[in-house]
Amino acid sequence: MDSENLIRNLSIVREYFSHNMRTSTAMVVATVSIFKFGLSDDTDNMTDMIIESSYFLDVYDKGMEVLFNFVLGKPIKNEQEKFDPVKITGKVIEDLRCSIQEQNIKVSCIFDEMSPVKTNSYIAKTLLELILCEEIRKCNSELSIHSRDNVLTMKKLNQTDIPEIYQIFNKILAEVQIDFSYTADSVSLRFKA
Amino acid sequence: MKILIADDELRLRKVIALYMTKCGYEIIEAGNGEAAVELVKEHKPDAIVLDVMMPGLNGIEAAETIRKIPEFAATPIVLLTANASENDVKKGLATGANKYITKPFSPKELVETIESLIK
Repeated sequence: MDSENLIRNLSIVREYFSHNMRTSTAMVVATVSIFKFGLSDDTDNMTDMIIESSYFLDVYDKGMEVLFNFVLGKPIKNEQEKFDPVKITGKVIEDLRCSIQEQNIKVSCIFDEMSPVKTNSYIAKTLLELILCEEIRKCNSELSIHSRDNVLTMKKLNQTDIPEIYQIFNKILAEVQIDFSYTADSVSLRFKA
Repeated sequence: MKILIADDELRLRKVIALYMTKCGYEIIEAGNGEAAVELVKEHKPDAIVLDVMMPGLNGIEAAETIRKIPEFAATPIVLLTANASENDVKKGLATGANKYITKPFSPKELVETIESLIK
């Protein structure tokens, strides 16, 4: 990678994670302020929001490590571990139920059986979590997620700007044999059986 | 006192709106820059809070658009941003925004900032 591209990619990664980590932290600070000044009785929902923000921070922290390592040229290990994208997807939806509820998103999932996937499971899991977080955060009505022929597709009813960072996700996922494609309203990940 | 808050992060917007409502403000919410401009025209708020990074018309562009409307040439505008680079600060203030707050911030700090601008 030439130095101009390196600087550009580092800048994309820094801006993406800085924005998301600061926003999640702002969410924690704002919610704690609500508690501190006794402004809400809905402590369960407020607590869930804080827990969910910490989940986002965890996803962004792991993602930042993977992205910076890639941009800085650290080789990705060619590991062939079992990876279950459907299980990860279900877990993320469960972990983000508070956001899904707050944003009034109707999530529908249809998962056909996938052939066993083997890849670098840490990289695949980290990127899949980041993509799911991004698509859920940007969705404002319906999100359908389905798997067929080893392709996992997420389709929103609304259209959104395509995040610049998806170009880098695409390159990393290609290194672990996952084809990533995206439009303003959908993303697809094709896993090699 | 009417405040417009524009942020595409719905959860954060809701929590800030809740805090400010409890502080006695009437809050108008917008999820993007275009909606913010339209709601400013419709509701004529006393102060405007704009997140910088929003899809479509971002906070800086929304601030520029609002400032061009003579009626809102002096309405206090506070920009919220998650990117704290010096360049962003300069860009934000060059739009005519009055203050610039970097995330994470406490809602108390936002309220104090708005109050200092409205006085």
